[in-house]
Amino acid sequence: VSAATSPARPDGDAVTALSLLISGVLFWGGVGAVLTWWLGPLVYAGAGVTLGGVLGVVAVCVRYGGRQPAPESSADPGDLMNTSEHPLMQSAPRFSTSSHQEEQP
Amino acid sequence: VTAVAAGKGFEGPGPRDFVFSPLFGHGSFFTVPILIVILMTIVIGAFFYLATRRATIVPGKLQYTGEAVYGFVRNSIAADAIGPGYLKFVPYLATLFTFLFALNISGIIPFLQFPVTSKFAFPLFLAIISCVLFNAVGIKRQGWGGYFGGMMFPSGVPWWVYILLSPIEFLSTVIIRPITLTLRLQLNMFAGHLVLALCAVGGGYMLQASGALPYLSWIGFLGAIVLTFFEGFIQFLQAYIFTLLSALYIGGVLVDQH
Repeated sequence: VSAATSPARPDGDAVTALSLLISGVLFWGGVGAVLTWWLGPLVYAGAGVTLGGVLGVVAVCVRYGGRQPAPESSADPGDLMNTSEHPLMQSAPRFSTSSHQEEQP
Repeated sequence: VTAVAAGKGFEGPGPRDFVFSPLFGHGSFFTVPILIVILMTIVIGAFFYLATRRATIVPGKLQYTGEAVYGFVRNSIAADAIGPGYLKFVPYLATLFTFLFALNISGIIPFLQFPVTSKFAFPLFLAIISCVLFNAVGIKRQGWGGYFGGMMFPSGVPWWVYILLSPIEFLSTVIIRPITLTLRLQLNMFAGHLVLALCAVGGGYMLQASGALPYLSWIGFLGAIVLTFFEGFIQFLQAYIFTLLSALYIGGVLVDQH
């Protein structure tokens, strides 16, 4: 299997998104906990955890929200008209009549 | 069994079964898990040494097995997860996979019967190595500013949002990733070993009990046998997942440079 031609490259988006969600709650929850320990009211810890949860979702949206889904290849194996996407044609030489015409003096 | 003899109720396995006293001397760090790690390291080293000692074009059984393990990591993990430039990471990933698999599978090997990776420190140490590696690769490829800047300051976001999001991005990549890697493996091995031990101990308890329980003890032993095979599959799967995620993180920092 060649990496360059591997069609299905898995990605770590799911685990990265999970890490972001956990990080949000941990960091801002931790900030809230420190404020609670320092100032007293428990509301700081609760607000920190809530804010961290929301910001974790925002971080996931910022990182992955604008992505376009990968275009799917032709599902019809009989679609031989689309020769450029056919596996056997991937390594075939490409001919262009227009370029030949342009090269004419 | 001893509980039955002493007239006590059933005492199932618990976290105390994962605490070992030193094998030699008082206060020594040399416990059963350490012994298993040393043993497995010797076994893996000997296996790959013998498999590659006299490499031939037509491989023998041992060479074929060694090449199959290495080829599995190269083709099914590194090439797919990292992409172009994956070859230089294959030795690390193959070492990681075989080492993890050996430490996991020790949980169902007779006379060892303890998955070393159910102790928190072992997977944590391996996860830290993976974490240092993929961060070092990212810094080497993109520079300190480029790597941490790209990680902590995603484009298309107002500047004041960075104050809220940048710590999360940093914490996620540098701290949480190795911890989630560690916990996923450690808790799977911990829970699997507990369930397996519960079936075996429960079967033994029922065998020694009075009434109809001895006739039902086969349920516990059958469960232990079935779960042993299932645990073997889980142990392979967890070694695969740990290695795959390490490769994905490496591939992620290589892709981010574009």
